[in-house]
Amino acid sequence: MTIHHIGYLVKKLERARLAFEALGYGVEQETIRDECRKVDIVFLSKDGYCIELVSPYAPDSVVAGLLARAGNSPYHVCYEVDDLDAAIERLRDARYVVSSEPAPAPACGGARVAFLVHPYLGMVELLEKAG
Amino acid sequence: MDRTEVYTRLASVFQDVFDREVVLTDETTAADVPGWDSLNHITLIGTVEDEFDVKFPMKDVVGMKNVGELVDKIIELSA
Repeated sequence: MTIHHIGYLVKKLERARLAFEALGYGVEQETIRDECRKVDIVFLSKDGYCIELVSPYAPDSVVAGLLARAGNSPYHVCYEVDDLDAAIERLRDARYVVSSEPAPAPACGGARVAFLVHPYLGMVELLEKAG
Repeated sequence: MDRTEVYTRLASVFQDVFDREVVLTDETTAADVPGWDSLNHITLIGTVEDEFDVKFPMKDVVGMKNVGELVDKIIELSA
């Protein structure tokens, strides 16, 4: 299990992207719309660290409520795993609860991702390695 | 574990998750508790699992309609 990126929830995607670029981040992947989760996504990187900007485009997006509550802020760390189902099973035993079941993520080349929430940590994303 | 004990401990869980005192009955639903949205529901389930040392099947995580069903499920899983 390795860290893949940090998810950063933002209200205005392009403004946030400019703000990160001012810090020296470069765009890894231009905006992709994830219609399943109703969010727009941009990947940026700097010094080997990857940031995923996530911005809901509809009020019923899965993260719209969180954005309203927490404001612009980092909200999950994504971990890359070899076997998504096995990782979920293992984390269930450590009190993580699945909030979004495994599904292909357009912004990650169609690789399967799942989101889990721990009551004393918050949200994590698991991304299954390709192939 | 009887329902009274479950309710006592559950009230503490709700206080922890929602940062407020919540009066719970069998009929209490998410609509009755400010802040009980889909994401906080997952946090609530995780906190309940930790408090009662149980693990909910996935279908039950999103399938419970009210606090009464949650209490029933806790008792069932604790047996």
